[in-house]
Amino acid sequence: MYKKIVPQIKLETYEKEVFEIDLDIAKKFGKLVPVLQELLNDDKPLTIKTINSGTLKKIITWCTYHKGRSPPPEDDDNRMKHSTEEVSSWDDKFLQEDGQAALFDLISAAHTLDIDGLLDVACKVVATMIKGKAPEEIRKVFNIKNDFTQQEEDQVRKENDWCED
Amino acid sequence: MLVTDLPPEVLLQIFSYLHPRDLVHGVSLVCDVWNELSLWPRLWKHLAFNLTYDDPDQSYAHFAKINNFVCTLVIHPTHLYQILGNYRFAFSGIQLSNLEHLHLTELVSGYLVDTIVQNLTSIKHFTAFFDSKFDMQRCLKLLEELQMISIDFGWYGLQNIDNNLIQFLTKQSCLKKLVLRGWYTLRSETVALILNDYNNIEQLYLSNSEISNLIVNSNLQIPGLADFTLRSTKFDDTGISHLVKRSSNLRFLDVLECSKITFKGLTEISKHCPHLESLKFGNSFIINERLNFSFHALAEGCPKLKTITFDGIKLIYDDELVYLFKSTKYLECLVLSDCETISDIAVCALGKYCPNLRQITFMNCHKISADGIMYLVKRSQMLQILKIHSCLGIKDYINHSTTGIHDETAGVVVEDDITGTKQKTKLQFDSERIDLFRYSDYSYKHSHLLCLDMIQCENILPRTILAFAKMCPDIRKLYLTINFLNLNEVEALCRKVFDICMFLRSIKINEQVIELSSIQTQDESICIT
Repeated sequence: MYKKIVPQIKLETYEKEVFEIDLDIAKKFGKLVPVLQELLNDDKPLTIKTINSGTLKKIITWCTYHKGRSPPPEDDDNRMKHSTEEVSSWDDKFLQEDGQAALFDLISAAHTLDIDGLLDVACKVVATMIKGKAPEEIRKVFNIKNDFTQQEEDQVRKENDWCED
Repeated sequence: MLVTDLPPEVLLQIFSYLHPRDLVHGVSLVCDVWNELSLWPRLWKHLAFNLTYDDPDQSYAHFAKINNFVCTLVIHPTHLYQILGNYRFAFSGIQLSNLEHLHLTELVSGYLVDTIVQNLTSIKHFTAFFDSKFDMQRCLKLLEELQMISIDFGWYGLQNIDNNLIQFLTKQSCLKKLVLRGWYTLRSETVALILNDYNNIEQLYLSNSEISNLIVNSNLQIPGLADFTLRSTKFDDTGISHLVKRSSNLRFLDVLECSKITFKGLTEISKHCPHLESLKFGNSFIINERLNFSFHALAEGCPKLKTITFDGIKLIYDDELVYLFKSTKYLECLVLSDCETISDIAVCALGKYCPNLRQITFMNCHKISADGIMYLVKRSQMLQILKIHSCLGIKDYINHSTTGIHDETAGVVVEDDITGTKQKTKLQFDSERIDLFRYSDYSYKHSHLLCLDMIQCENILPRTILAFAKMCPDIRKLYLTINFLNLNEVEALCRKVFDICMFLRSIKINEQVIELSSIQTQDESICIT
């Protein structure tokens, strides 16, 4: 039987594991687009030390799921809505299922590889975690150390004392 | 990895999805780095905020830090007056020096415009409403000082100030958008002058209902005009025909309330506007033989349409719409209001041929059934907002995976002849109809619908609501009208819907909001079938 050959590129992760990625998925990696042709011809994998295998696996799953679905255009008007509504339940579940550390790994990787759609949706998920929370709660959720002195904090609080009707 | 390990540009992107309220009361108080990032210019570029200050002396300090980053400001006139006019802050550094878009949310009166012209010299886009006593003459005179790009003014005064308007326009060499809401005294001759002489204007919006065909009194080309809205009952086929012949680059056309424009006008629009992206057309009470032809003309003449609104066109046949939807593959937004003759066939064609749909409204379309809507929702993966108002045909549904319908009479029995006339849908090919209802040929993930609004669909059954909920697990807003259930049954239904839709926090039923938190997990015995 004739088997369709899908062009693939090879990526090596932090753990030295080599992944073969279909071209149409690799095309979503903005950073790789200029060198795709080279990578196709080259048999040696491209090493990306900052990304671990688990994260790359997740990225591939995400890109495969969203194949053919282009994100809505992100213009200034869209951004003005301060909207985190467009995150779908699938994305929400997918991004949060492995915990916070994995989510930030994923965001960092999406940023490194320049995968716009994934970065947008992951940032929206993090924004949802911040939304409506008091500073103490935010610190607790993300395990951030409060490096303000009491005096500084009071000052900021005072200056930011505006509210809505 | 921790959130603090993320590079600042990523953190800024996260913050950009937050409301100013969260930046001010949350992010800025978390830690030093976040505080600094929360003052980043890009985050404050667009500020839509109802500013009030508990203690003005202190709390303008924050606004003073970010005021020069603000490019777009949506604000209550009183608050703006407070910021600009109060002597206490004259030296406190509130300059808004980069402000380009100013949108005032309430009626403006008094001398606010004086203050604006004196202080905000960088504004280029100005949106405001003025009360009837407002001295518009003086306002236009003052604004001559500034170079504006867009003006969106609602004014309800009764004196004629056309001369002042023309004088103002003469001084504005960059003006691209002119929106005159109300403006009852505007004369058609003045509009003609604007169209003929001020070629830089791309967008023109006129809501004065007295404006007539006189606005097109010459044959000069208006190649610049891209967006035209008119709400006048005196403008008819002759007028629109002249207008579209002269403006070949028209992309947005709204003649929704020009009820004198008939299908003849529609045909003319189709012939002369190949770039049309948005068409709002309605209230046409003249039905003639050329109706069919004009939809074909539209399908062939305007393939780039992204937004279509048809209001009150009583006799659109399904096959005409099917033909239209086949060619408008970029369609994103559709409104069909009072189109009583369309049925599921048109709805299914919509799902089949228009993959980019984001927003759909059906109003008073009684022949549409729940089955058609379900097919549409499944097929339209981009669909985010679906409004179905007063569609009495939405009742029960049939599970298609087992039965499948092959003709329009199957499915739900819809009251026949709502319009009183016996009309038959006449698809050209029988096979096409069967094809439309074939359910096995699509790959269906799940719907991404965010808002489902089904108010006044009074015949809808609870199990149909549940089926919709199952299909659209991402839904954030749900509006329903339910008449024949008692309170307990409604509560049980809501509980089930909340279980299915994880993002849903409240449901609006019969104008009452039912919160997720108010639904207690008692009384599980009530069962809805």
